[in-house]
Amino acid sequence: MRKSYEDFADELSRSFPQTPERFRQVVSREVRTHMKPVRHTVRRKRRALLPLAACLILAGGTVTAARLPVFQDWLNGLGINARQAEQSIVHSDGTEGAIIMETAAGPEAETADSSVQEEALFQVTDAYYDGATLMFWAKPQNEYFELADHVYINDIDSRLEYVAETEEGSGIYECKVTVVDPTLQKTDTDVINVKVQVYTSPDSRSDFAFTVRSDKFGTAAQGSGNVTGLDFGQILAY
Amino acid sequence: MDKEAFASVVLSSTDSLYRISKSILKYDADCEDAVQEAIATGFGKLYTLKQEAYAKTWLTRILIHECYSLLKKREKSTAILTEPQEECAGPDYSDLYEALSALKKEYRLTIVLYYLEGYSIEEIARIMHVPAGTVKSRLSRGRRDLRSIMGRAQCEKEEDYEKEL
Repeated sequence: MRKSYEDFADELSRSFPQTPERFRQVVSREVRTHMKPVRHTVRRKRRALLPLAACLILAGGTVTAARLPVFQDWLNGLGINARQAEQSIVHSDGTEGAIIMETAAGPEAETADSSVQEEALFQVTDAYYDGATLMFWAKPQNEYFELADHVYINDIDSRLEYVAETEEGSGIYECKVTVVDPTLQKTDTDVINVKVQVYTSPDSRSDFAFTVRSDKFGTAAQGSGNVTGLDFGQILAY
Repeated sequence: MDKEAFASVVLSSTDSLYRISKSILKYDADCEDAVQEAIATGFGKLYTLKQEAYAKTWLTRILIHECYSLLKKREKSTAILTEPQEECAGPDYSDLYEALSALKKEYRLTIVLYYLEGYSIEEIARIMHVPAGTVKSRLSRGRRDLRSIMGRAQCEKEEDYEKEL
C-alpha cells in the first residue's frame, strides 16, 4: 500500500541520524567568526565606489548613444527591432497532448479544442502524479486565483496543500495535492480526472475539471515526443 | 540582507544543513568541512543575495556546491587516512536510512530535499540546476529503488531468521 506524503516524511525524519553536537558547534563557531566587526570598512567602501562610478559613466554613455537617431537608424538598417523580436517568440506548451481541459458542465471538451480553452478558468501547463501526491502547474485567466481546500481526484476527496506562484509575476501557480484516501493510493490507473473549485474573486467560485492521461512506456516510446518517467506511468510530452 | 539576519537564518537551519550535507557526504567530518565553507561563502557573498526570503534556499545551494566539491577532492585524493572513518551505515541506523544511503546520491538528495526539507519540485529544480522533469523522475526512481532495497532487505532478514530456527 502506498504511503502518504506525511507518513513517508515522518518515517524518514525518524530514521535520519540526529544532528551531532559537534556539527552544531562548528556552525555556531563559524557564524560567530563572521559576525566579528571588520576593520577598515571606510577604506573598503571607498575602493568599492570607484568601479561603481566607472560603470555608471559607461552605462550613461551607452544609453545616450542608443537614443541618438543616427544610432537607431543604423540598428534598423541591420534588421534589429526589439518589439518585433518579442512578438515572434512562441511559447509552446509541452503537455498539451496529455492534459485535457474541460469545464464542469460536461465532457464535450474532451478533445480540448481552442474554443473550450478560451473559456477555461486556467490552463494546466504540467502535471505530476505518483499515487501519493498530485502536483500541477496552472496558468489562470484572471489575476485573482485561489483554489478550495478539497480537490477531487477520480471523485475521491484529496487535500490541497498549497497554491504558490512559482516566481513573482510569472502568472504560473504551483499547486500541490496530497492523496489521503487509501483506496486511491492503492489504485493503479491510467487516467486521473481532477475537479477543483476555483475562486475568481474572494466571493465568487466556479467548478473546474481537467484530465491527465498517461500512456504505458511501450506506447510512449513509439511516440515522437519526450517521455518523462514517473511512478504513475508515463506522461507523453509533445 | 544584513549579517545579523543571515546569521539567524544559518543558526535556525543547522539541522537542515546537516541533513543535506549528510545525504551527499555521509561522513560527519566531511559534513563539518562543507558547512564551514558554505557559511564562509555565504557571508562573503551576502551582497549578491537579492531577496531575503530566499536566504535559506540560497544557502542550501551553496552548501550542495561545497559538498560536491569536497566529494570530488576526496575521490581524487590518494592520501592515506590517518583517522578511522565511521561507517556510513552502522548497526545503529534504521533500515530505511541504510536503504537511503544505498541510493545514488542524486536520488538521495532529491528525496531528502522533497520529503525532509519540504521543498517543492520547482524549488528543487532551481537548487540543483536541473529541469523540473528531472526532479520528478529522480523522485520516482528514488522511491522505486528504496522499495526494492527494503524489499530485498526484508527477504534477507526472513531467510536469516529461518536459518536460525
